[in-house]
Amino acid sequence: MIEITWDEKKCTSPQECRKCLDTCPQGVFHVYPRDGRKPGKATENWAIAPLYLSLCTGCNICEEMCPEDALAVSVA
Amino acid sequence: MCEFCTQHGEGKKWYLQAQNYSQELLNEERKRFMTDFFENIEQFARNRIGALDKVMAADPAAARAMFPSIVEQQKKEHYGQVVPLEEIEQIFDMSLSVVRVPCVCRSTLRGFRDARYCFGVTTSSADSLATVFQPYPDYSTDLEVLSKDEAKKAIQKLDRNGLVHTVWTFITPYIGGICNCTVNECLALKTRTRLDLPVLFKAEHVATIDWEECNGCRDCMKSCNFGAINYSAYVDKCSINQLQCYGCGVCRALCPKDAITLLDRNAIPALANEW
Repeated sequence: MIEITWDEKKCTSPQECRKCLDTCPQGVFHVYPRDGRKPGKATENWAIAPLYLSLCTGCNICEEMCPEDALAVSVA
Repeated sequence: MCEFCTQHGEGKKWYLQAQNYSQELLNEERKRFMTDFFENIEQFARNRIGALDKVMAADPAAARAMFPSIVEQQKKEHYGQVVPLEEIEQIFDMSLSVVRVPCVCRSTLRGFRDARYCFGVTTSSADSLATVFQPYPDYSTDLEVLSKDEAKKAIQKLDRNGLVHTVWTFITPYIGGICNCTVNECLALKTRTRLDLPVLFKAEHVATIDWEECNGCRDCMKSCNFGAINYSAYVDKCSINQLQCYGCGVCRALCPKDAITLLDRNAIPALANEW
């Protein structure tokens, strides 16, 4: 089983950075409003998580591309 | 014809029935569903796709056992079909106005907040479809209303870029969206092609290449989202695997010899149950 961990303290603006979203060849990740979305307000607090983890090949590109070292791929 | 044509088409293709876009269908229940859908799309994706994906990673057979109930619910609420360019133009011709709205899939999967790839059509003057997006600045603050000609030009450009056109229900049979997608940026196409879960029908069509006309340039292969085109170096020709073809027809735009046409899927015996 492959696991991807995301360090929210290191990654502060995933929605602007988008490196992992753009470079993952399998498109494993998605970005979401951490506290939900409120009508009339633009979301500021975004988070990243794998959505299609079963497609992850463990290629580590996300880990290498992340400018904040916030992602870690491990194979258990 | 697909089962939606039988149930909601009254003898026509269901997505060419004006009543399936009508204001009468856009009742309070549907407006609530759409508002909730756009407000909580990521949650929706996690609950359905993410949950299935977790099971898929651990036990594919158990995941497949979940398919029928998910598909049944999707067919009631939010199901789609691939539609080629000329029929999207027919839909625009039936409409009164076309609104262009940002794509929620590209927002979810790529973080693009104002990727205007999706269209909504209305068939009456009250443009309540547009109001569904208004409360959410994450997607957009201003709405674009296009004339039929502007909408056709826009969709033709997307077609040349190789984007697959699909129609989507928001509580079936109301069609609330026309999307233009690539496999890796679309929650639905991705879930269907990568997790094998049917969340949309293939088109009523399937592509074929005229053997005499094909010059073996392979340009069509670049646009196929479904890996349905094969090339033979020996004869220097391309051919289409009709079992893999979704019938979107976008390969036609790239063929310099106009060698690709769409056939009626229903006329091909082996494809009668291949949706």
